[in-house]
Amino acid sequence: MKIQRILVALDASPHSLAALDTAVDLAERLDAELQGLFVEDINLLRLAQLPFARELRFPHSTTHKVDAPQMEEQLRGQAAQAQRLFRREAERRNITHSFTVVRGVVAASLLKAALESDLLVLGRASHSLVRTERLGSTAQTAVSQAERSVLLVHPQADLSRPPLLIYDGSTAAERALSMAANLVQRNGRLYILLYLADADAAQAAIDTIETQLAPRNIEAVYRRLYGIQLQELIDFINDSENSLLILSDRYEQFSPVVIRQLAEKLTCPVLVVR
Amino acid sequence: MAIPNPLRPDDLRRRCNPDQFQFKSTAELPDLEDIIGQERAIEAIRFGIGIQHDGFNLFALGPNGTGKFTAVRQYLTQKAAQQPTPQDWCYIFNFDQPHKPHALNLPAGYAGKFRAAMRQLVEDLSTVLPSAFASDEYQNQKKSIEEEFKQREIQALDDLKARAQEHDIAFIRTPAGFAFAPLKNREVMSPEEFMKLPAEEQKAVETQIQELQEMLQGIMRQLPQWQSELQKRLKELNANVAVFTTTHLFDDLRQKYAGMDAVLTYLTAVQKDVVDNVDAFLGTEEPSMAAVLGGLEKPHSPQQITRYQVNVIIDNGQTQGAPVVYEEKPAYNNLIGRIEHISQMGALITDFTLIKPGVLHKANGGYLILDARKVLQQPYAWESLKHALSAKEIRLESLAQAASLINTVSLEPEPIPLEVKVVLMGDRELYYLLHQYDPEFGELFKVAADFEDEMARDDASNLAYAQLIGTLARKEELRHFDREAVALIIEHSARLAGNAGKLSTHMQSISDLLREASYWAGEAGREIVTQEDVQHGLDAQLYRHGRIRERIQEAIIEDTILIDTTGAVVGQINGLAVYMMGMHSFGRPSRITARVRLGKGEVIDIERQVEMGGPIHSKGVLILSSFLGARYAAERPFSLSASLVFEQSYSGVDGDSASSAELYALLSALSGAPIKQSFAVTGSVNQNGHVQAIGGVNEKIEGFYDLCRATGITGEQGVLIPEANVRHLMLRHDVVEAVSDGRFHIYPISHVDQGIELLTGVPVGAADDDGSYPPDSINGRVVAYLDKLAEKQRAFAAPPPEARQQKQEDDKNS
Repeated sequence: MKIQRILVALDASPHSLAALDTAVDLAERLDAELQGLFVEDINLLRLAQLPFARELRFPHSTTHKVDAPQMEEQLRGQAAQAQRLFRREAERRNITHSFTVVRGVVAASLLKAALESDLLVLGRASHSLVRTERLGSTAQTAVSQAERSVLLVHPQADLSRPPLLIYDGSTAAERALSMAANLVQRNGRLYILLYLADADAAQAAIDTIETQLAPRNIEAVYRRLYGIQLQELIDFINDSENSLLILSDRYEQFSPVVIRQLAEKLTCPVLVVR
Repeated sequence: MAIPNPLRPDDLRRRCNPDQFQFKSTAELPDLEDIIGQERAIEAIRFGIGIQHDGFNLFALGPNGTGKFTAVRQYLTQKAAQQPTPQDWCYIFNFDQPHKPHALNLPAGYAGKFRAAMRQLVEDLSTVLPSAFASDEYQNQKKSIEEEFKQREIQALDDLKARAQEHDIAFIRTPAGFAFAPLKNREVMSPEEFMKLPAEEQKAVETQIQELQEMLQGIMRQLPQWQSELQKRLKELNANVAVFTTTHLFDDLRQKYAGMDAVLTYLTAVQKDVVDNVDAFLGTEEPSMAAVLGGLEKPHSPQQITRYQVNVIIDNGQTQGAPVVYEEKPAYNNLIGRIEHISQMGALITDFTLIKPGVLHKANGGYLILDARKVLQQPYAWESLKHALSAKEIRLESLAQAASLINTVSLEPEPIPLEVKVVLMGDRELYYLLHQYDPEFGELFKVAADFEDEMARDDASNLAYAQLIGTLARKEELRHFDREAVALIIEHSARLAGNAGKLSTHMQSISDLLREASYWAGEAGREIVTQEDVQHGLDAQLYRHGRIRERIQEAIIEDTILIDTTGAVVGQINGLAVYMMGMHSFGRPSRITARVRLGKGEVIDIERQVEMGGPIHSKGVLILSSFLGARYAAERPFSLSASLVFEQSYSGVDGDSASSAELYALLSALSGAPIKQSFAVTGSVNQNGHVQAIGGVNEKIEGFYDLCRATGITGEQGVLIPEANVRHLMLRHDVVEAVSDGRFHIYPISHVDQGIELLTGVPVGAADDDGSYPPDSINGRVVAYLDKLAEKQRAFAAPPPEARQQKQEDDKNS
């Protein structure tokens, strides 16, 4: 699966900055086009129009009236800032890029825009009141409903390290393997976690994988795990210090809930391949 | 009055007979244990050291070179060796008031150990604490506490969101905060849609939103509270872990220092501080800009933790008995100690580790020897010394701080109690001045150890002197002296003392002579110093210092300075003056002349007139004038003016040692009897004509002798000295020899009547029952002259004969 176009979702939050960094990095590695998207949240604008709309500011917990023109201006400002940053980073790395601003419901707009690219990159959450590892609503929606591969970014991503692929032998796994192989540089290394019940199946899988990887001269490091508790898996992945985790949401053993929990608890980015 | 006989050679130099000594050379003599000739001072030192009351510090007074320091140090060292070794003192951090470091005392030798123990403790803590806090147990506990609070926050928000959702209200993040908005079909309602709602519904929505906002506000207010609660819990956890981890380290130390309450108190404070400041050991704190830029410490190093250090101020681990300390340079800083500062980013900072001790600390519990003059010369040193002694404590203060010259961070270290005996050394004048002008001096330095210049000369002291020479020779690695050399040295010592019956205690001069004599012996290739070498040394000294003396003699011989040594002249006499240049004095003759004329009865001292005569000199002249007046003009007018002068003296005269010579000159001028210039005279005279003792008699005689020898000894020359000075005579060998051969004569005079007869050859004359003197005697001639002058005086005062007649006529007619 060749990635030619990457879409990165931007708002003004620190998470989206991390997303931008990762997206730019990837675009450079894969020699892909990069598109930046800012969604002017229609809900905010509607809220601003409501006569009784009040805004609570943190940390003073005072309330302020909001009005539409003010809201419009704030959103415009945020968009402009996002665009500035995006342009700067993209130009620095000599990446083909474009930036769009749309108005609408955030998640829906993102998913729609994603249809025109091969990979959607976004942050885990927007601003939150409380420090939490929970995925924001947009991220949750993207993971469960996007029709393209989604990369959930983590601020501490170090893309120079080899990625980790979970492979369960299914067709989905083949696609995930293909994505992984694209991401690894030539002569690079890929860590593969064989999520298979028995050793024979594992050996067969290895043979298949080797055929795929040989042309690109990618070295694979294998590990077989099966039937372990989620927390153990999380700890294992966190300890292994890979650059990111690649898997598919179609795996039998990995329901969307599991994937969501993985995304929340892991300290590396998670790439859900579709 | 009968003229006295001239002195015999034996009277001129009291010999030291080498045969009285049993030894051949000083090598055979044992070392001298005690100081000689200073019984009074030694008694005072013994007393001063023995008495324990406050204020009984000592002042050793006397000229330099009399062995004050040696004596003092010897006695102090002896006594101190038997006294207990004093305690150690250190400064430690004061956790309650950091700018007032605590002073901590420990048994002697323990301070160094304690310092090492604390260093070790810090090192141990630096390994033990980080590993405890890196451990899984701790991390898990910490995480679980953090989780608990995070959950609380999340739960509150979740509840809020759920509540909102129940009522179809969305909880939205806005650019600047948060807001609630009603939903329709999972999207925020547009204003038009809202307006479409019935009024009660609109109202309900608004009320609901209001409630939700209040709930949110409540949560937002609570968040900071929960944060601080979290911090508190974490802090408690940290404290517990720290205490648990470090207890055994502290308990070990407590055991080692059981019974030393001050140490135990300190250890408790340290433990508490460690627990409160665990971060410093974990290296989790960012190093302060100041520390890094100042380049003082590597960040995250145990050395950064200076507050647990121990600053050892007094370490008596190596001291035996009580300390005896001599401070060469008693500046304020050296005496009291100082607080150093370091420059950090342009400011001066300090802490308790920068306190440095002074000699008072080192001498605490023992003895301190200081040079008084040096102490007085150092600014603030004297005041601080007195203050420390009367307050009985050493209080450290930066000098600049005390004088309010600087206002930087400074310390007030806890004062250390002071138990010390101070011995000041100085000259006598200094002692008496201090006593006179400084009221505190008498309260603090009650014991005076008065050192003599001279000691008795007898067989016992001769032997002691010989032993002293041997001791010094051994100490300074000189050659030893044979007994003839010793005898000569003893005679020279008497000469130095200026008294045949005494010996000088000016050890420095004697040691210098010994060193020089030993050198000459070496030059001569001898292993034992002989009399010849000693004499060589003495002669060499004279030669080295004799330039001026020789120039003056030259000038006299060339008649640049007019002195006669033969013949006889009226009203002119050879007086004798002594010059002191550095360590050496020499005598030289001075011509004194007297002239008389008609006048109103005054004796003019020309030196006084031009203010070149000192008061004592003037007093001497006034005294001799009263003698004259009393003898000759008690009942007749003294119608003359007489003038006295020291010829060719251009640099001032003082002292009355020439007043008898001046009197003789006057008597000669009055009587017309010429004075023999072959004599020189010295001696002061009182109102009754008695001749009194003077100083420098040896130098004066030798000075005149040397001149006569240069101009030619006639066999008639000599010197008249006061009889009271005979006991001071220790003349050079060649002078004694000349007297022995009858070529030179020295006369002891006790009254001017003896002197004038000797000098003029004319009898002085005794008064008969009428009070008249024989006409040819000195007295008779003086009286005759005075009568003549009185007559002339009357004649000049009376009017001329014609005028007298006219007056008589005028009187008759009126």
